[in-house]
Amino acid sequence: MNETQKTIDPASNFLLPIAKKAGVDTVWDRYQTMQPQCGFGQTGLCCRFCWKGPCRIDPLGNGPTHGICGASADTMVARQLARMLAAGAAAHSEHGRHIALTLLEIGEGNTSVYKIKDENKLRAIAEKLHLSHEGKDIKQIAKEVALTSLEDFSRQDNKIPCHWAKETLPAARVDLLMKVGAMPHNIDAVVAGIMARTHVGCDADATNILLAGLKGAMSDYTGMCLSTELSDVLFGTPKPVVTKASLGVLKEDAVNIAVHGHNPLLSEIVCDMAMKMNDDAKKAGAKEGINIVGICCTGNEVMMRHEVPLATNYLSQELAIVTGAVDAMVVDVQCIMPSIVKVGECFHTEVITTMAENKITGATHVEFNEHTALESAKKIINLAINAYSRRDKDRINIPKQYETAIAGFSAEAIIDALSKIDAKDPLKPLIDNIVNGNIQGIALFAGCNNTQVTQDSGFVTIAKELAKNNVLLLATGCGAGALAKSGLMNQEATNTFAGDSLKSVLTTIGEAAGLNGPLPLVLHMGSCVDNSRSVSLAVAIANKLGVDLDKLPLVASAPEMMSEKAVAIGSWCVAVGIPTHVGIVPQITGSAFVTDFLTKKAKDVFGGYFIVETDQKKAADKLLAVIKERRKGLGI
Amino acid sequence: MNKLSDNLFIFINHNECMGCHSCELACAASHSDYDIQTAVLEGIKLQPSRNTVIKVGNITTVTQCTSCEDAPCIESCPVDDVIDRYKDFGGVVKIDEEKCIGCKACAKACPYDSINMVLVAPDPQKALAANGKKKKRKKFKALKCDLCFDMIGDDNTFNCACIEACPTKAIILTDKNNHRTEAHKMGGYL
Repeated sequence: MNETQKTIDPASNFLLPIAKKAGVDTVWDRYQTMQPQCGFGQTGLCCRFCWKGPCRIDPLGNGPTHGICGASADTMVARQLARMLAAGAAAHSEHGRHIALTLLEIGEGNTSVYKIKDENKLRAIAEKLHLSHEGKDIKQIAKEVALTSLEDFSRQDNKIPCHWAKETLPAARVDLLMKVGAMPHNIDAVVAGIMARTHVGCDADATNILLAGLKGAMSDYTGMCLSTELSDVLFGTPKPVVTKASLGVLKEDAVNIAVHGHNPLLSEIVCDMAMKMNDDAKKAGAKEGINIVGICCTGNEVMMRHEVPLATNYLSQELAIVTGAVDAMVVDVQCIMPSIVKVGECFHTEVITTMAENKITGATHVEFNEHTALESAKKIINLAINAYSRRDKDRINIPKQYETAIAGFSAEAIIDALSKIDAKDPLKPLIDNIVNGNIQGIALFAGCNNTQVTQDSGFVTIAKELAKNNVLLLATGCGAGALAKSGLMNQEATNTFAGDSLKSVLTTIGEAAGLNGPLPLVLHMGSCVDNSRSVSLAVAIANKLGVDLDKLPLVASAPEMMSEKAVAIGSWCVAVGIPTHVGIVPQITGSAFVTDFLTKKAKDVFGGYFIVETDQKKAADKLLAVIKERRKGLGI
Repeated sequence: MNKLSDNLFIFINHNECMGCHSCELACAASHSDYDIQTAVLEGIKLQPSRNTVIKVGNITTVTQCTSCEDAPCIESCPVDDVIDRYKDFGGVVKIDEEKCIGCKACAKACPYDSINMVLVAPDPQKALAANGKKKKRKKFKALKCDLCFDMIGDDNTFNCACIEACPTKAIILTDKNNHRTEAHKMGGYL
């Protein structure tokens, strides 16, 4: 079998032979066992939406051309894509709902665990949502903002758009999305609507289904936008922090607790409690106390707000346990491999699930909610300290290397850094440099890891190529994790890999912001739910220039995507006008119509479209070509 | 289905193979007393061992016995009448799985790794009768494609399960030597 390189992450490459020797199956072993994977699923031509199926349409023209119900390949592919978009929207929005409900609890005085950390941000949001806040008590503002946000989950009038979509995008974009029917009025209703219209015997028109899917993607945007912004209110708006990345951040002489998943509601409290219980860990023999490290997007959240080092991203989560030094892995929602429980059993690691709706058989479950958060956090840390005493010293294999990473570039933090150059008009230096070509364009790296791609290689290869060509780079999610671990989120990387003009701009801003050197090569904007941060930066630029997003030299790249959330993010990027690269072949190729719509026709309607390219160098070239084309369109 | 002819074998047009594994499942079921659903419901472990879906670069295809002209497996078998060519039935080379003693000689002799040695689950009745006195020994048997020999119809037509299961009709029964060469090339043997 053709075995490609598994990962470029040095820590993962150090740990893989150790996993093999210990007989631990990893995601890569299971990927090999799964080969070859079924071509009908790969092309989106296997439908299991009703029990007349499974129906498989033969894309090669010898077998069936339609499902038993009569659905064509176009219908089948569009329906499945729409359902993925609904699932992605549900995942991000459920996260958002959780945050909004917590804000409501604060507003109504029902919780003492969570507090408002950033009052200014809350007031700014109230203003954005057209809520008067002058002279009002902060709790009252919190309540009003929460209730207004929750209207995006409950509105029944489908002519009124969601606040969080309408108020965060350029007016022209809002009009366009309204016109084509892709603007959500209610996140839950849109998700339910997609499920309903893709039921057997309903919507069979691929274009109509795709537009519904894109409305689902815009619901994903709405949910993530409110999630991100309200999280900042609760836990603080991220500011640049210097920290570390890679599994080398685990400490032999500390109780290592890995927080993994997505929702900061859990990890924030665990971080706070860990500080309080540090002495308990020392008493148990851990000289360095408690060492919290992050995995996946929880890692990104606490990295930005607490300088907590990032241990690793999606594909290597099992390898964190293989170090033999993770005493507890505390998980909440999304992207948690069920296999970690089995790997944990091979070591001493306590795998702890915390959410009532996200349990894993075999894991220890410590239920976490707004009211019992402190006790739960205490219980979790005690479990970790107990596990530490069970550690087998002979099985500890912590990789030596780690990279310095600067994280925490919220849109506010970027504008704040720019204001050090021009206090009156902070965006001016950025726009001037885009216009004069010192910065050719902006690229956002987002999305996951995928076993189909050598871990992290897509992000690193394309980022270096774009940086060389003076493109300003932003990153979120596991893309941010990949680039942080690979040492591209520090000042040395700017000096080594940035093109001359980009280097000089990053140095000017970095020096002005008091960083004693340039900004990092890639700006870490947060977790995958924080992709809306890059939109708010782009919208600020677009509004200042008086153009819509589809005119800006702005691209997105998800070279290693896999999750339904990433499918949704990529799709709303397209819907808001951003050309979006995908580095794996999406499960849509069975329909020439859907493929053509998403890669070509979407450009005519939205300005954004998908670019599918599995060759990383070619992908970089294509993204650069788009940036050039957009610059030409703007006459710069 | 296909009428009888000489030295037939299964050929997969790899350009039309979707790698869906339907042929593997159909093969396993057709060589058992169960259909797939019943086997799953009753927890019966079927052995998909007579054909294997493989991936060569980005191409998926299936490998299995091509009933070669010289068939070294026949010569290699130490027991009479276990492996034979059935001239009246398309020249298929077939293993009598009941009589196979599991010595693995044929699997070693096959130049294309088309014979799989499969562990036979011990017969609980016999184990009980032995009352633990007899030393336990693992028993194997040799499996390979037999063109679904037991399903050959009264009118001498073949009813190969994999051909019927293939959703893209990529699998055919053939006697063409160039197909055999191509199959061995895809398997990495030529």
